[in-house]
Amino acid sequence: MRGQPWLRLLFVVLIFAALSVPVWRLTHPAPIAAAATPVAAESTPAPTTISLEVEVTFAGPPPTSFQLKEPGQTILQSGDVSGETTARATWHAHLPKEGVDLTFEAHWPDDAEQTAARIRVSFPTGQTVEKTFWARGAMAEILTVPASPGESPSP
Amino acid sequence: MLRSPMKRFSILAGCVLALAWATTLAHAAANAPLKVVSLSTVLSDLARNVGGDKVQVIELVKAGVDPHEFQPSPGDVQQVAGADVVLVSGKGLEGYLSRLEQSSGGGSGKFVDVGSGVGPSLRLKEDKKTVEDPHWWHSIANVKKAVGVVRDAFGKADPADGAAFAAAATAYSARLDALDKEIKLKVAELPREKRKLVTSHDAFQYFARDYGFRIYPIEGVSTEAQPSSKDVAELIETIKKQGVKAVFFENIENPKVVAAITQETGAKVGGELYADGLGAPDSDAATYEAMMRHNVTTIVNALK
Repeated sequence: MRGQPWLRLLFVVLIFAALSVPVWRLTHPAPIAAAATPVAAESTPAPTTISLEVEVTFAGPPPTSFQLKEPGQTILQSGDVSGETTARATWHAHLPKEGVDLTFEAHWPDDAEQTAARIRVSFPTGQTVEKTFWARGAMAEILTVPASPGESPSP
Repeated sequence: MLRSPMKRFSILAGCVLALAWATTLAHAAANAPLKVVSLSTVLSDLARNVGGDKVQVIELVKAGVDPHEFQPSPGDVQQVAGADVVLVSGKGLEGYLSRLEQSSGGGSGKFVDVGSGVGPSLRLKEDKKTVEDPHWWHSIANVKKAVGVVRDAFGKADPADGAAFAAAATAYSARLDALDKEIKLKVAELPREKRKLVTSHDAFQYFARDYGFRIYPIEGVSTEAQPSSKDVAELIETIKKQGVKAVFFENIENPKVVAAITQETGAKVGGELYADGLGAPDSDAATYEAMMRHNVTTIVNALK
């Protein structure tokens, strides 16, 4: 036999040893929890906190029960009616750029005539967002309040 | 010769019987339900609600079958050939449609493209191309227009029952209005900044448009396109940056990709959504109304 078999063997072993590192990395991805660098959540502007005046006005007799709320919080409800047809409250609102949906639900007696309720939200600038809803007996409606009056809420 | 009274009587009786049979057969034909073939489970449900017992609905695409990959069999072609009305979802969903029309003998106008009557399509970018979004049924406003298309198609094929079809369509549209209000109130429970929806494929853009969501799909508009590893990696980064809480899989798709994404992001599996059609008859999404309720409840409850 010519040459040095043990040298050739050593050469082959060294080549395999050199290849083993990239092959290992390809077939054994690093554990996520330990090695992955967490991606920082997108730094979106913090929701604006603002004091808004909220007013609900009823065209006729007030409902037997009603509630105006945002997700997770009631803003106005039965028992808040001052005078006969109007309820008011100050809403300390956190307004993200997407805006906030206010849900209004009210119940009148089954034999009540068709009636209306106007929901108005007033900004410190004097601008308002408002909507009037009509119903007979029961009402469930939504008013979207944008981050700024005059803006359309972003999707 | 007809001199014999018996002979005269027999001939007269025979004529009366023949007349009675002819009348009976004609009456049965006139009252036979309209044979309606549907290429979509949603359209099957619409057809039943508008047609009632005046239609016989034959579903070619059944629950659990991916309409993006469905191919009609010879038996399906025969059904279409014998149908009075064929309801087509349209907007490019049925890639086999021209072949089906040709092989079933064309049709004297019985193919009704319902999707073309619901209004303009949303258009999406996919693989650097702009494609038409065929999933119009996720907008109740679109479905109400579809009800009108189905009503008119049935009325044209069976004018005698036109008033019944119109009444049923009006009643069903009222139910759809109530459903739309119900969905809006349910969605209002979810803060607007949390309305971010990660789904298996891009089937919910009409829903997103109507109810204020943003969609991050794993696959494109068709389930035939598989996401690349680069696409999945980008989506994972987006989910982390946007703080998306839940990822949703679909009743037809393989949930493994969704499971892999949730492991990488920490988002939970939000649940199963019905994207390309209704659920099985024994599921909680067996009708269009039930499907929409299931989807919105699953989405809102998971993202709260």
